[in-house]
Amino acid sequence: MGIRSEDIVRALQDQIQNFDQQLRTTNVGTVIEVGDGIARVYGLSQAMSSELLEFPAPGPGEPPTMGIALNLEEDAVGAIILGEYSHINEGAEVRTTGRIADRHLGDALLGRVVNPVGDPLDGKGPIQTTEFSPLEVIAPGVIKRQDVRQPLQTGIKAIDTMIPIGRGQRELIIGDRQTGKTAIIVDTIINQARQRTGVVCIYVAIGQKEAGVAQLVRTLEQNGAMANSIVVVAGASDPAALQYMAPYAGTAMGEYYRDNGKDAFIAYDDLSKHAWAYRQVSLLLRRPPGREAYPGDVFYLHSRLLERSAKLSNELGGGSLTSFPVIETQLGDISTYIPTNVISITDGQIFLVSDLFYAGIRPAISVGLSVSRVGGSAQLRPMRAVAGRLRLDMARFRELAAFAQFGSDLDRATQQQLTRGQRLQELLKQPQYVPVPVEEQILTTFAGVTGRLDKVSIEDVARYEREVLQFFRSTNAELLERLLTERQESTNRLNAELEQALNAAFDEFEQRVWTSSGTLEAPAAATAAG
Amino acid sequence: MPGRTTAAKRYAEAVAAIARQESSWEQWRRDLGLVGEGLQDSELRLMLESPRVNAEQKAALLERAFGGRVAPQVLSLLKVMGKRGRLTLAPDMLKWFDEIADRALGVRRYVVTSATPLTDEQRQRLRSQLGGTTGQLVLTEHVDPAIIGGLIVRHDDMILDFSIKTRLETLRERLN
Repeated sequence: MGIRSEDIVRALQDQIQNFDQQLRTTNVGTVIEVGDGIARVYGLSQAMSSELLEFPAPGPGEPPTMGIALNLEEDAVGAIILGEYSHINEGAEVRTTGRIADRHLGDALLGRVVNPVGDPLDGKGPIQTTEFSPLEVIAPGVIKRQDVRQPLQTGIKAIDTMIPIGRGQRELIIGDRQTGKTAIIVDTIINQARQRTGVVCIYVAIGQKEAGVAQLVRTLEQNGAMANSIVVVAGASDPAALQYMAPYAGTAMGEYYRDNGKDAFIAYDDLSKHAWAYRQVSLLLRRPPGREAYPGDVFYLHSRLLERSAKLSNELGGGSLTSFPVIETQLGDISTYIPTNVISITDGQIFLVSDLFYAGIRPAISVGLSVSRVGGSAQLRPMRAVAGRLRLDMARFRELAAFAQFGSDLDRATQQQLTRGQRLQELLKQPQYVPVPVEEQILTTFAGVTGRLDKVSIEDVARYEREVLQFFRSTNAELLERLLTERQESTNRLNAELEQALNAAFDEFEQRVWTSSGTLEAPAAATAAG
Repeated sequence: MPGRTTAAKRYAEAVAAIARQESSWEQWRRDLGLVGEGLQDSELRLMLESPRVNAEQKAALLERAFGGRVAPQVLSLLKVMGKRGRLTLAPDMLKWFDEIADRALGVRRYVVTSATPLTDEQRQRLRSQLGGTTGQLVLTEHVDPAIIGGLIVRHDDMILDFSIKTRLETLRERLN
């Protein structure tokens, strides 16, 4: 690039010469009350809503402690303090800055772990960014949006097939503690890296154990997914004010990509704790409590946040921000205040159930209660053609499985459906950190719904899947490719010619590879082999 | 010490309304000043704020402390506050009253911080710059060598910062 020293000197000269022209008038106030991360400040008559305020620095030579004005009252301002507040006492001077709370943006944040203020937490040095955006912005309006129409592949079979996610969608992940909520997010992020989708991933940890977040960052690094990700952390020991800000900070970072025509994905883990933090801040600011002591605007708190996830129109570059808010339920109760709020805001939910989790069905997604309201139109056509039947088969199976437990005589058709359902359930099981590419998902789902697995014993389903994929990758790669690119004539069936080709390939596999290992109908041998 | 409570402001506004009606700002100010000094006495304050001392005893106590020295209306104010258990707000109320009185009388208070003591000529120039032809202009001066040079002028909750220190800091920020 070669920057000449004269240029630098001239730029400096300019800045110094023009410097004197600005006069600094500041609005000041005095702290009359401080505690629990909240300060009430007398004066500050000119303060703006959510303006950044400067509190005294904790020590000489250190940057001043910042705060945000939240309550503008007759003679005083209620403010949250961002960070340590033990050095701030009554009578301390507070100044306005003329800046609305904002965040650093840009690619310099990729691969970094930051707190909601934008300070690095990973010890990799300062973050140099030039662009800023306000923390809170109004979500794009009707004209600026378009329908969700591109898929966001999570790499999780049960989700991509039955609860498809589109770019720009808000899909709630809801379930009790320890049901694999975060695992879904981690797999989704890893899949973006594996498939090189170019989707920037932002993980916002709110009120979580720092050890858990460190573990997650390590997992992302080990899977090569950190380079394209940003982790925003407001841990359990951080002040409630920071926890309250974290999702907005993360969203501002995501919007940078959305507004520049790129795709971003953001996960808020989790919004229950976010609501708690906001409740704490609100009560300390003496806002009137409502149901469950949450303030009256707790719905707006989340709706304004999630509205910022959007698919922009082509004129605006067609960028998108997809979000996975997480809600933790207590004992599977999804009908309490915050869960119902967020369910009604989002475009669908993935409901995780601990019973399924402990029965070994992982991801423990409840097919009946999970839904994606807009993602279907974004699903790849071949996937849609194949998976449409999967959802139906699974729903029927769940219904029958309850009856079948009584062990009475079942007719052939029922038995047939049970067999199919058990195989499909087995097929949808998936270990952590192994996202499956979408064309392979289509292929195995095709095998499932066309009844090819019915002849395979349940223990063998995983091995069948593994070997069939190997077979296709090595001998029929162009068929796999076609599953991605083929133009569909109908929405609920694969093109006849493609279907024939697939069937032929499967027949070949079953005759040459699978039967040769000799376990197609012999469970005993299968256990020995597997 | 409580800060600036709204309740105290309401008392101050009531007093100010009376003062405005009777144009007795100066008298109120003087009397309330005396009350303020009187309340510095910690024993008296303790008695007045204690819930174990009843309203009549408090009234008698106030009578003894201030009776004859301040106007009867001032005494009435204190008794009303005592009866409602609001005597703890008295110091607060005095602050509010001063502010309201300043505004009503056109008194403007400036706090000026400089690195070295102001000379008479500088003081004159500052006064004329601050443009005080109407009303009174009260300058309180502070000397703080840490600001290096220039002036910091404060009025209510606005600060005009012309100090060399702040300018250097801003310059440093800008150049970073």
